[in-house]
Amino acid sequence: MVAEPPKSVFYSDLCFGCGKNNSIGLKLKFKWDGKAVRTEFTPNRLHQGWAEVIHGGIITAVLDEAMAYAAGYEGIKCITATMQTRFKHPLSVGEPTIVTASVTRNARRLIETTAKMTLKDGTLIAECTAKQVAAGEARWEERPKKKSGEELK
Amino acid sequence: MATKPQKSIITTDMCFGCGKNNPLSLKLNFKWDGKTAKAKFTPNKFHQGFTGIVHGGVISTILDEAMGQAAYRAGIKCVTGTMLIRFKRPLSVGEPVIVTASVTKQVRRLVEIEAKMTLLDGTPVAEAQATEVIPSWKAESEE
Repeated sequence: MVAEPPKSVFYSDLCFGCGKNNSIGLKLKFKWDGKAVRTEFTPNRLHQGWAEVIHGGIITAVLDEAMAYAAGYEGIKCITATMQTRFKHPLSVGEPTIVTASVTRNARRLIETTAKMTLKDGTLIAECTAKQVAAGEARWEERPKKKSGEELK
Repeated sequence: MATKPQKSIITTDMCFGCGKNNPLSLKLNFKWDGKTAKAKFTPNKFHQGFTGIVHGGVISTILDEAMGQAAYRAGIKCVTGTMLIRFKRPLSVGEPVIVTASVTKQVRRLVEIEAKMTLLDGTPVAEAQATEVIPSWKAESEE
């Protein structure tokens, strides 16, 4: 569990997961359908671990980002306390994936989230569950380089 | 390059964690003392999630890489099966950390590995436990 969760956290356009101005970032863009966030992600050769196989850390980072967004759309900014990822199938360079995430439990400061990554044919690549700690109310207009409500339903 | 196997378990200098020729890479450089893989890392602004706080996914990547390296140095080539990360303290951009990892158990194709990340003064930042698998496709694609 996080020892001292920050009282407030702020969005950054340099975020490794979604920052538009992060030259090394994953530049993920999420859509929210009222229940879950969804994005498509195609890893490239710079995301490898073993040759041609995508690094488990990159997959984890994508899932972590997706879960943070799911909580964000539910109105909570939170930081990850524990996260368990189960890898089901190796992902190759260039294989497009679909990532979804949602909040499964929202008990004041403690938020539970889940995420999964599949290939387009539904093959499960990895799934993840996490416990997160709330660190303030999510207000999308604070987000840099994005118009207010741009991605809200 | 010759016909590359679709699923290989071959090292590459393009690895996101340690690859010297990957411009995005974390360029982690591990030392091995015969038991533990150890590296020092200082996150920069491109590794943040929320402003000034290092992304949990980047911390996970470092721990995953450390565990992969520990197994590799111990003579085992494996891929991550499940990985549990416990974050102990938010890490700020610019704070140097020490990452260590070692294999704790191996039963046939299953390898258990632990890793931790601390500040230089020993303050825990995150811990990881993973069960890794020596993939069955290794034999076909071995270099």
